[in-house]
Amino acid sequence: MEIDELEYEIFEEGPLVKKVTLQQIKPCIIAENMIRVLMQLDNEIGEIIPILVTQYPPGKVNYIENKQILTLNIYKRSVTLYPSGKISMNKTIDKEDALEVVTSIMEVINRVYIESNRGDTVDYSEMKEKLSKIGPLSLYNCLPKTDCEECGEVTCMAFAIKLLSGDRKLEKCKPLYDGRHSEDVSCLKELLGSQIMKTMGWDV
Amino acid sequence: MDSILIIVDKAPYGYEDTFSAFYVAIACLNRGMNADVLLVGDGIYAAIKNQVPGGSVNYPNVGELSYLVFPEGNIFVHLESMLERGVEEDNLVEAAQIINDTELYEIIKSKTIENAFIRI
Amino acid sequence: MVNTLQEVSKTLTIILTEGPYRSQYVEIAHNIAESAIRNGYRVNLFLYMDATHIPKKNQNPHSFPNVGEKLKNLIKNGADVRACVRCATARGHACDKSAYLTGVSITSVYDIPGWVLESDKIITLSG
Repeated sequence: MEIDELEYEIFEEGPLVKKVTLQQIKPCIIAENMIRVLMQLDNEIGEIIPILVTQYPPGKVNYIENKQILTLNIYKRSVTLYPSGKISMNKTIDKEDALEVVTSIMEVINRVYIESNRGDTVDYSEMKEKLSKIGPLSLYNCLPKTDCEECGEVTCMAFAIKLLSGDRKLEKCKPLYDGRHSEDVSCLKELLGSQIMKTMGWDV
Repeated sequence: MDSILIIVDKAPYGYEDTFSAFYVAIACLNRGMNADVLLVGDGIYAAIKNQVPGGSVNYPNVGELSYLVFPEGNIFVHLESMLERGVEEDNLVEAAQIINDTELYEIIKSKTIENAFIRI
Repeated sequence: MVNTLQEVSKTLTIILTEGPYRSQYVEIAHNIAESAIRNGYRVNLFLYMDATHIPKKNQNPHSFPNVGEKLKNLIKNGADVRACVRCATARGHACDKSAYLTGVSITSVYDIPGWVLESDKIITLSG
């Protein structure tokens, strides 16, 4: 059967997750362009997953609350995280590609773990109501609506859509960032809350 | 036909059929098709967690294969079959979705003409 | 200008998973395929798992119908018959190129999604 399993130590001093075991699954013995990978972290991450939901742009996140299964559409693939510490990934080029992606996720997991121990984090249940109200229209309402194109998008609505999907950061909106539209900034703070604003690239 | 429902009613390891069926599901997903797996009868044993296949069998861990189908495809586990066999939700892998007869009926009904049913 | 209406033929895919003699599935598949071809269908036949034993050359069964002959007949009538490389290799058939009847190609399980997409009907015969 076409499965090889290897263990890698990624973070020697990782507070929650240090190692990952990786398996490539190929339904056939012929070579393929893209592979599917199943990984197992060396620790369970059930407590961290609800917090991880708020660390990624809402448009990239798919969360099954009752099972605490989180799917992230990042790095041009779907990455699914399970409370047991299993991570599955599709559209992966090879082992090295998989390791690169899982390393960045482990970094976030470890960081969030430290922050949550300090009481510095917000989890999904607190954000749930806010998250359900965030859509392109509500975001657009809190933008300058001048279509100035300084962010690189043709309209503020296009910028709102790209914000949701994580393809643009909030700080790209110069009129907002320069303090020219403080009521819009307050509107955003009210709509998104500080955690999601941070996730969307508001580093103030 | 645009999508596929693969029905598995044999337990893993005794037959090659179960993991081969999962391979078909993964191949379909890799080709961008919608593919779901329905575990019914003895097929529900494919979704038991913490399987450790070893010895001379050397088949892949079928429980883990379900992590590669979900969430692109669903792993439906038939509730009646579980109850008959004394299997509970806690015994299953995280990727499994338990469905009762009504939900199964709704799922089959919602599959349009363009859905293939394959039982392996 | 003459407009010719060309009838688009339908496609039937049959997937077999059982070996040749323990069950009658090969014969059933043959009969369905033959009838489908007569009715203008394109027929694809995918041999998965133990069905990869079916196209072996030089079978000489006593008291069972000769499945090799039945398969040859289908191929002659235009059926596309393919076998899974993983399964065939596991059973020792892929390494020896002359093991199979002419006209049977050894491909991969990816033919299943490929064929499902283009088929109007799919039948799986498994034990």
